[in-house]
Amino acid sequence: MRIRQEEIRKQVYACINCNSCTGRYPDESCPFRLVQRGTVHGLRGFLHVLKGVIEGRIPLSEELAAYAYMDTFCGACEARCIYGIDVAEIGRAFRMDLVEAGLGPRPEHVSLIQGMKNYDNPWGLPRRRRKAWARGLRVPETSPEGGPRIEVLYYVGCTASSDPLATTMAKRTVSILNKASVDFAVLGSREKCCASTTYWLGEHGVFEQWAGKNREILNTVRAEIIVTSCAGCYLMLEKVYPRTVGPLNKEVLHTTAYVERLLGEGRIDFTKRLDTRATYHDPCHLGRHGGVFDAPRRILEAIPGLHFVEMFRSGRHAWCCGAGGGVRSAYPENAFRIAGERLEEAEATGAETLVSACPFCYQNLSLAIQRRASPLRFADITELIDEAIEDPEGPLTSPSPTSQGRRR
Amino acid sequence: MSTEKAISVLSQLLGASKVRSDDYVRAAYSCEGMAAFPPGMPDAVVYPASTEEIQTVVRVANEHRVPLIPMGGRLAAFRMLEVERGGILVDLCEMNRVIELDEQNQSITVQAGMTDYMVDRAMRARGYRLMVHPVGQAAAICAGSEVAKNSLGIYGAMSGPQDRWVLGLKVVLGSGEVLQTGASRVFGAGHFSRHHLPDLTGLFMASEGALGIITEVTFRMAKLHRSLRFADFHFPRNEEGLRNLSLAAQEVRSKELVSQGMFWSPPSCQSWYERNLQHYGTPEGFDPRSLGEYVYDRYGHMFSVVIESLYSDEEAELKEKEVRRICEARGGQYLGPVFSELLPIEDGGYGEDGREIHPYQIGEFGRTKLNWHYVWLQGPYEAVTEFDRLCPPTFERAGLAQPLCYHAAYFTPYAAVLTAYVHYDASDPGEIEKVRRWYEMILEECYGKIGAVPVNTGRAVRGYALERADPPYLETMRKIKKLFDPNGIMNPGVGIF
Repeated sequence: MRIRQEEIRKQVYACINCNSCTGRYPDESCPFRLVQRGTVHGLRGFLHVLKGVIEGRIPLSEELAAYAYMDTFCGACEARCIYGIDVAEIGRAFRMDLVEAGLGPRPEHVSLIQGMKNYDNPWGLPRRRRKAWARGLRVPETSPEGGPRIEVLYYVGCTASSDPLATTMAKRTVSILNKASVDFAVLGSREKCCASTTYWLGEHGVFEQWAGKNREILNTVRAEIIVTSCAGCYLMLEKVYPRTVGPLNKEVLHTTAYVERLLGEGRIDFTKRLDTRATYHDPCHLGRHGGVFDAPRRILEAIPGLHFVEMFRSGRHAWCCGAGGGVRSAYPENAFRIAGERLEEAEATGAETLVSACPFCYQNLSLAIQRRASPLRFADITELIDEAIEDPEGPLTSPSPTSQGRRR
Repeated sequence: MSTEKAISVLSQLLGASKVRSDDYVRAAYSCEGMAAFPPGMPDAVVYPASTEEIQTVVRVANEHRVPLIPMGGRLAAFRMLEVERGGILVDLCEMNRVIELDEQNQSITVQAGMTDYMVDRAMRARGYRLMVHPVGQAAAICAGSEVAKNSLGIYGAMSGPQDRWVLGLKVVLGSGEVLQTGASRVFGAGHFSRHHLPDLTGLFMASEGALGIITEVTFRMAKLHRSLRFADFHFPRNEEGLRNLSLAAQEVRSKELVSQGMFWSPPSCQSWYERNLQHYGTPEGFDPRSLGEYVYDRYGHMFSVVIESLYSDEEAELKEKEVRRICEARGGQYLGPVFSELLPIEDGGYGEDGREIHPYQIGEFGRTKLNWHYVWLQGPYEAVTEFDRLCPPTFERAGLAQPLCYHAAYFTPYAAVLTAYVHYDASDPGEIEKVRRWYEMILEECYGKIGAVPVNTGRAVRGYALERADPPYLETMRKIKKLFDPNGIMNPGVGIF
């Protein structure tokens, strides 16, 4: 079992039971609290469960698998842990053991794995429709043969390529790139999933295969930088690939970091006022796991007319949207409850616009806004960036009507 | 005993979501404060949300003769919550509300499952604080546990044991009856006094869940300071130096000049120094490999103090001058604020990013992912010198390596809390054996022999307590236990019961 391997086992047994990971803070940020009670939620309880498995006190079972797959792997407990115990790595190792034992992932995840195998993406989007979101837009494609060197490869990601809500992110990103006159291209039908889903579900074999293929393709593209607007893809390409399938041969930036660079170089400027009060939700994959906290905030603060307000739980201790770790697929009601708590917090700031920078957060928070009839409007940060940059030729895309909540 | 039947009945009465017997839930509750103690899984965990629900749990447990183990933050350090012979664990996490904050009588009444940190936050909003101060690691401990353990853990020790600060209780006894204690609860008076008749509240202090389940606690509130100052003193690294340090501590405490006073043995200083290095960078020309030697030579015995004033900076400054005079008269050398300013005091002991600031966990030990084991004893100030002499040989005899072992003392208003720590790899059964051996060794050396007793009893030091306590006292306590808990269902095997 992987959880018995030394590097994992040492971490499991390092917990000193201080309870930092759970209910002692008013800004407690472990979303598992809404799903499990008492010691069971949080890192400490989880580690005791694993000790039970390691020591043979409890068997691997269906109920244990169900518990293991309720975790969003948001990393909030790790941010609190005074020992910095790597819960995501430990949890993933445990899920890998469950997969090997035939108990994982959950039945609801099977179609995602099949999608990967059949279509190179978990959502079952046919390869030829990978770039359907770009219809009517100026979006060049890289040449399979190499072609001339370009400045930026825009790695769109599966969700922003296929989900009717999240395609807004892709459209807005290319609009920004065009306004900045960036020489960019996308992979089009050659773009494969970054394999994030399989990584978190514990399907390590599938992950290695697809991540390996993806790395190969990305390394052959003659581009200086890979830019992605997806927090999950960013985490995989920038942080996970180097320690699993190998590093990429070019710089990887999330859109927010790249936009900051464009602003610094004077290639874009925020000239349009966006009169709104906005708050920012840190995606776990971009923030806690990816280490990008400041760029989105600096961007929002630089937009004229935008009044930025911080939620109580933000940055390293942000509350999760509830979608990650396969939770939205297997336990949609849990994901909705977790998102609901985030909306309450966002509403309490008096913000009109809830901003984030991840397609999963986009999906889950937008849906929660609709279901709860929240007065908030959800916007991906690329929407605001695009709107704040003057374009003499007029906007290339319109905001997605489905992303609008009821305005105050 | 029919545990299964009791679980089934409780599920019907409280609802299935409040009664959990899944393997993974039971496993999550298999360990308390320290990992070196053997794990014990409860048969089920219940999550009552009110005194009435706790009464239901106690009634069903009595009917089926099932042991009940009440718990708060699950940080007990003396095997207090170990499930030896099966039983149902009563997790009070759902009982986490403030019931009343009474500024006129400077008291706060909270449900027993509310954590110290949350209680403290509620008070700070009104200019008061909980006298488990600074909150430190005890932030995870709950109000009920403060009473059940008469808490005196690490930083909580600075204000002395909890019994001084508890004004009244609501308890569901093992018999199922609800008992209220404290002047206000019994007579409807204000919460200004705990008792003017024989003190029933005191009986529950350190009762370790053996008499009943505490459901509400009324604490006395303390005013929040206006001004803070920090100072450290170096005393020569010899027995005489430490004796003088203890005498200085006693004097500054008795004159109420300091709110915290702590002795650091050199290895403890080392871990503090590492933290300093992390924060402020390595001084030019300093070789971190010589850290131990450097700290050892430079600081010797360290005495760190925190000085508070409720009124003004001037008063705090005057207090500091007097502390300095006392320490220097006993051979102490004033160093300025070297380590003391890092003591977790502001905002209940939390750093800017919300992480707890704790000297032993942030630094080398945290990075090595080693677990820890510790012992806490309380004794007279003069026992510090003896403890300093006894401790290091036990580490050596148990085969544990310095500087992963160290000791310190906290000078509370009335006694010294003597603490010793070992860091070890808890995934290695051989290491666990060494740690257990050390624990027995240090208790054998110190319990009752240098005028010190453990902070709690639990199951870890039960044998010593039964052997060394006065027989008539034990007999009386057993009669009280029988009166409050006729079927012996409340945390059987804990403490002296």
